[in-house]
Amino acid sequence: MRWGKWATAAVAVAVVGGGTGTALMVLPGSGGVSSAVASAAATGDTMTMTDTSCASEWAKAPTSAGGRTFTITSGATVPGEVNLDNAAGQVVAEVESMAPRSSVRLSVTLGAGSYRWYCYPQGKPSTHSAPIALTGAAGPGPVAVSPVALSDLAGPGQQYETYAAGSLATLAAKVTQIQGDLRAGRLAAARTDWLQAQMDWELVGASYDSFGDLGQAVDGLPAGLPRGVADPQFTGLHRLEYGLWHGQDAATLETVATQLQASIGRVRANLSSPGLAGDPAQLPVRAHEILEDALRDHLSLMDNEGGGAGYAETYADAQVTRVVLSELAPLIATRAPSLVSTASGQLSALQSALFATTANFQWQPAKPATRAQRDKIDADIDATLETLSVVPDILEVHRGQ
Amino acid sequence: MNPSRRNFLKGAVSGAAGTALAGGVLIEGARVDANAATTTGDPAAGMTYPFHGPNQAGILTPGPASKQAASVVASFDVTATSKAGLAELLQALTSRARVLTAGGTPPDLGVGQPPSDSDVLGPAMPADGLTITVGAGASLFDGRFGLASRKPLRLTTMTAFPNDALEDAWLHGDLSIQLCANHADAVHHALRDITRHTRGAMQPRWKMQGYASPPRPSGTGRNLLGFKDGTANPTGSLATSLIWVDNPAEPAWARGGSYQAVRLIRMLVEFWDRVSITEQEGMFGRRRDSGAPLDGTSEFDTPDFAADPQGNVIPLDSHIRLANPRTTATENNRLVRRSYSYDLGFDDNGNMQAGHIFLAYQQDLERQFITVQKRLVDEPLADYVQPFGGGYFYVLPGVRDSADWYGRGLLA
Repeated sequence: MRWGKWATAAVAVAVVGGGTGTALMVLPGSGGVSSAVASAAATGDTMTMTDTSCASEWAKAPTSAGGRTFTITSGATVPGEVNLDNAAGQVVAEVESMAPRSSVRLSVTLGAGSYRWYCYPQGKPSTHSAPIALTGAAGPGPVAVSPVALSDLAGPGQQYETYAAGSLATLAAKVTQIQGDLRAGRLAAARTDWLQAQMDWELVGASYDSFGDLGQAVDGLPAGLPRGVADPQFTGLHRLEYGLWHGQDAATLETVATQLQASIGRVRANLSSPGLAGDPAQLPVRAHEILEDALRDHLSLMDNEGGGAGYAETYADAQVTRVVLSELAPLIATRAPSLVSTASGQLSALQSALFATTANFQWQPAKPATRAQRDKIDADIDATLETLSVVPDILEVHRGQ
Repeated sequence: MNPSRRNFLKGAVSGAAGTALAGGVLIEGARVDANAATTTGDPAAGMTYPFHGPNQAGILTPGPASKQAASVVASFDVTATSKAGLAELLQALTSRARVLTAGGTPPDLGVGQPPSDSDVLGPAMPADGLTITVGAGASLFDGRFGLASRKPLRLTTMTAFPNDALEDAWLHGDLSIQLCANHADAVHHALRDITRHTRGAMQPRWKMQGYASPPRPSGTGRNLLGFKDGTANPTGSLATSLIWVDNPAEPAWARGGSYQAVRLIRMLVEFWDRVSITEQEGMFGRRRDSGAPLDGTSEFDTPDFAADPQGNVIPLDSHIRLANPRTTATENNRLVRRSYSYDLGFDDNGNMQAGHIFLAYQQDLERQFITVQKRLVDEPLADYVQPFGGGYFYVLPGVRDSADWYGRGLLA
């Protein structure tokens, strides 16, 4: 039965595509989205953004609280964003990036209370509808979010940049030490110092490729390179790790370390660039992605080039996640009051679980953790990540703001 | 024996039977055996796709939008050591493919040897909509069989792209065999039958089983990131003109074949589920619920990138914008995808091992897949996926008739 139906849908699309670009396209017989759009329209829950008005239909819309499905239609001449705010000025629902003449379905559960629509047509003054009170016995709706302005993040962003600069200085000093080790042929010392350097880099908070190509030169992996570990583009800490654990000689590795030191210098010189640490809007993402990367690359063993430092790296990642969280704490506190303390407890549990694999305060690359130890580590990082995943959502800078 | 089946194989399909499938017995080249439908209660099990033709089935027959629900892509190394041995292997493969895709009761070998068939599909062995698509890897054209001079022009060994994390155990191979059927047991049965009849001449290297998602709730099926996948696939004569090799510079034997790019792509679904809907939709460039482009209303609306040069609505680095910029210059980079989802076990870190068997067909690997893939380097989506296996293969021209076999032109 699918086949026949498909043919019909394809024809319908072709006709509409060649037409006049009506805002609401309903495909005969295609069901699903289109019929939902149609039924929303039928119940009168269509809200229109124009260049100069916002959801003028809201004044006459049904006033029942509960599950509502709106069709947001743009009659504006420019792209724009549409938000639904509650009486406290918090965002309850949003449609980002609407194109002129398009329609989007928006399903949201609304508790009793007053709501108004805000429209942000690009390059034009924002507009809003009148507030309308909804009544009825609806349960609590989704959590509303107080909007964040870019300026709110400027202070935390500056704190992070200062912090990262300090961590990079520590890293550079450690790499100088490795250069000395190698010059003197002390490979065992170089291996010990490499681990500390790798942890110092994790503590910068850029380990998840968030510093672009300059960061990749410090911490890149061979996986995507045509010649793998033999590829000239494989440079930095993991290249050093590979050599130190694969019998390469000190002179060869001294060249690698010198190149690494230069790469670190370039990161430090460009730290304020938006592609590195200079975009404060990226800080909320950093709060969860550092640990996401630890799970993806360290705890999967994907980035192990011989040093077996996954647990040590993850420990450092948990540490810098605490730093980022503390920088964002005032903004988080008003939006999710218990989040920071919950995450802090989970990070402690994770760090304890990681530390339990050490012996005499030394990380044990050669000794595999027990099944129970691994389970505990994975469980703790998973739980932490679920908590942290909210941070970018509640601290998102809305385009309209 | 099954009389209706035999009639059917002779092409004597009567339109009789007003079967459960309204609209007749011929659907996208598939024939439905009415009696089989009655006896099994499952019309899909009696479905067959024609085996003989200028092109192999399993690419446009049936097409991606109506592809079978179950699949496996398997790769093999040829262990035969001579050109004659390779020919025997390909002949054996052909005759098994011919039998399996037609269906029918397997021969009774008597008590003097093990049964001829596993009976996994029961004694009548329905075709179950099976298609078999055989491809040759670049390694088949090394010195072993004297085929070096006959290698298709664009066939190479797949090399890593910048966001890849390739694992040797999941890469390349002399032959690729793609099996698709309406049910997973038919795929298993076919692979088991094929390996049984080719032992000694080829040895398995890797395989990945896949499944297709039905429309949820409508339109193109979704991938495991929850997005409709394949909406913009070329169809009809456009698809035909993009995939079948007709370049006069290619070896003559290769006419009617197609380049197959297989990519095994892990999806980091736990990470993905922790990302906001706005970010997810920005990475794809489409709405998650409807599949509509971010500047549109319905799934099949055409995105208007020219109207949004700054990427205010559809980000410039979104997947749909990089993959298919919809410009005149990029029109001939398009390819046909016929992908499946897969699920394995758990990773060391407790994450689900699941993802995407990307299968793409084109007439020129460099002009199409490789060019598109280079445009996608470092797209934001790259953080959530890890290509780890696959390879490039040349889908051999179709088996034309009962005297023809896979690669006969190649080995002539």
